Amino acid sequence: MTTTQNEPGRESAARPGPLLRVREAVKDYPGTRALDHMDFSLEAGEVHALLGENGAGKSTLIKALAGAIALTSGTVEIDGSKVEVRNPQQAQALGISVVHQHGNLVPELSVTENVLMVEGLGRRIGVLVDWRSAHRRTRALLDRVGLPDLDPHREVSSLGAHEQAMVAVAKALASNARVIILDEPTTSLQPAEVDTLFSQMRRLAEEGIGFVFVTHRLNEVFKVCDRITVMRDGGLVGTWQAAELDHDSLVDQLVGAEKAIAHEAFTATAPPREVVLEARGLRGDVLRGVDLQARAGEVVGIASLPGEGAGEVVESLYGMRRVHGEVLVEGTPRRIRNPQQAVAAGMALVPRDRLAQGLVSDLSIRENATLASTKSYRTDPVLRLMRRGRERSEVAEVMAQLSLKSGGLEKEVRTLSGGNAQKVVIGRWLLRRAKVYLLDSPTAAVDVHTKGEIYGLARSLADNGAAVVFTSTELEEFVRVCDRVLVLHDGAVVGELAGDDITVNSIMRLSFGRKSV
Amino acid sequence: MSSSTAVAESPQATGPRRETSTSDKLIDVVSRYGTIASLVACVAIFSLLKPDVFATSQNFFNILNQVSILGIIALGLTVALVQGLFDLSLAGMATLGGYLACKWLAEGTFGSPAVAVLVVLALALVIGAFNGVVVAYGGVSAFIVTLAVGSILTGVVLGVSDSQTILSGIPDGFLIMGQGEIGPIPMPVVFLLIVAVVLYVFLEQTQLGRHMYAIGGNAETARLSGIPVKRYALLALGISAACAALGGMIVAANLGVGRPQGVGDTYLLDSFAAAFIGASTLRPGRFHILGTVIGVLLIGVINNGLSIMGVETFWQYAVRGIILLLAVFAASFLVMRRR
Repeated sequence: MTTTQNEPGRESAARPGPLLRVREAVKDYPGTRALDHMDFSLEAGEVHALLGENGAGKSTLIKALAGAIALTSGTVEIDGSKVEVRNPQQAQALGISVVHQHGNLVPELSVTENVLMVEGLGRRIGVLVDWRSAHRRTRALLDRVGLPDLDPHREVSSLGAHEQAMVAVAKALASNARVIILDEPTTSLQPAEVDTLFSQMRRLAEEGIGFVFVTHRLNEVFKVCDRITVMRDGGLVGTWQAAELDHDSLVDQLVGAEKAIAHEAFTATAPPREVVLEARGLRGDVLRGVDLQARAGEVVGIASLPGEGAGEVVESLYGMRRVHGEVLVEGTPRRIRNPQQAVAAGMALVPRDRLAQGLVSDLSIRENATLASTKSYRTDPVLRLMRRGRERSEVAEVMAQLSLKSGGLEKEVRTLSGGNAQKVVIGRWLLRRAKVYLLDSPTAAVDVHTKGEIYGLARSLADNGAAVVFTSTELEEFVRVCDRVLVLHDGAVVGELAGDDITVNSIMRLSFGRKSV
Repeated sequence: MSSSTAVAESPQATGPRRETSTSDKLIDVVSRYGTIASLVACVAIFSLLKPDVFATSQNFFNILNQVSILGIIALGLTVALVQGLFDLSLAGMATLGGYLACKWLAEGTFGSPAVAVLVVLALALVIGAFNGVVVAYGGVSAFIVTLAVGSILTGVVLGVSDSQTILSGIPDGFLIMGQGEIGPIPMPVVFLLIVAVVLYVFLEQTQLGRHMYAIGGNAETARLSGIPVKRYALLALGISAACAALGGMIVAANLGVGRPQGVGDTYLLDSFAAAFIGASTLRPGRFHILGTVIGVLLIGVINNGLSIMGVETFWQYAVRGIILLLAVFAASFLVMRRR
């Protein structure tokens, strides 16, 4: 442990193997292979970046190492000998610890209670907690992570994001972790705090701890990491010394050779028409002055890293998020403080989480489809009886148009597959005659074929005179569907791409804050 | 992290649906129609055992009369439960309603019984809406809010009445509500029928009812569809409170006295039992008017039949509990199977 300091990436002759090695890891879920013969190794004393796009398999690998899931096949070795990681307790006993994005801390408890949660607070006379020694041990651990002045009595919720991150690391150290996996620890940190975190990581690495560092921010990788492993489609793309790569070559490895994509299939064939949606100076806790225009007939993509603006723009336009700024629909200024006002203004949301936000699964297809337009089916404003006949015929018409496959419109919506369920959500807004469609990752959890159908639907919505705003976690989708893409970085628009300039590479570069494409 | 969850979930979302096997279908049928079947079975058994007492038209109306007040209160509660709101204030509300109507009529505050009834109903709507305001805008669970408000109401009636029951001065025009008849049908049953039909149409056939089911099913989806979700809590708890007050007034009219305590408490647990038995039948997992009616009848038939058989009261409680357990178990079993 102590002999390999300062020599990251190199094996010491005395030890039989690297600190951690994963060989031929396979994880199958029904219908998908999340890990496909993945290899990975971590030396004591190194900081090793684990990178990949969403869905590449990083999280699955981490879960397997943390004992949260069991591998279908493959082996895990510690110090060269094969080990079993069947549950979180075994992972802990082996010295593997995961620090998640928001820390695995209980905010209502004190620093000491959190740090010693796994190892346990000592006892006196069998039953009473020995607080004095507990605080003393915690102080020693806080010392090691560079927080010597932090009061261990303090409640974790009162700490800053950076202190919480370090307390989470201290908690890992308390259980004698030798492998610490940091899963996007910098997401909520300020730049200065990130630097502090990195210097502490380097110092602990010199003590012989191995860090696996997962991040979406590539510049951080070059600041702190010794080696870089890139994953794609559940498998290994390659492992490099950090010095062997630069920012651009790393991006190439992340996305792979840009695939031949049927670009023309879903993008506009006619020039866009009048402006339907205009937003000026959207400003809130994430957004820093975003302007946006969407014309009838065009699909406008909004891309950013998670939490840096794309999803926030959609939520702001739909009144789900408090922002300042102006929103105009068809030239008329609209006050949008809640979804009800957004719907009244002609907005339509196809939400990211279909089951939790898009559908009432116990209600029928018909009832789900007319949920936003019940007003147009009621007899009068007083008795408000629903005219079911008209409801039925109009829903049938729209669902035929969307080629919905179902066992009948009175069936509960739960009986539908993901793609068909999404059609019901889109149908709801067709029945409402919405003017602006906000498609927030509309293809999440649908199969490849249905994805194509949904791209086609987005296009036909635009062709029929609506403005369509589109976001996705899969950058390729922007290339396939959008006529124009606004790329946001840290809450501000940093670039606009159109036509053939829309590529996965250009979007990714801009969203990492690179002005030059 | 989110990406891997999506990977893990996608097979469920897009994979082929499981074929329904024969045993699944059997469970489905048992769950849907089990409650109705047990109602029919109870009627058949009691009719066989006591044909001359149980199976008479007089006893039929007797049962309906006995359950009508429970029915009115349980039907109101059903509206609140559709939205997932528990209303525990209905016991206090029923007591308050019955007492206030008697007090105001006995003291001559209102000359006309109809006016007094309408004023009490309006007051109940306001109190129920207040429950709704605290729930929707204060973000407190309905269970706690209505528990607290129910306690306050109970206290208010005791204070206002000085724990004295109103025994005289209640006009006949009011007593008709509980003691009159239209043809062979007792007035409480008439009220039950009216409430059942009105609330059935309200929940099943109107825009407001549709929105309530949507909110109860998935409030976030309803909100994102542009439905003003919060104000529906006011409406639901308002209706629940008004039905409780109506039930309380019919009790008072039936007995001819305005009691300041203990009126509503009898009905609190039974109305929940009826609504939950109802949610297990025909459309499992969903509260609905027809189901609650069946639940109320089942409770009424069991109580009446066991009394006629001379079975002791403690058995009646136990049997009711067992039936509730069976009904709810069957329904949740079916709901779990589907997920």
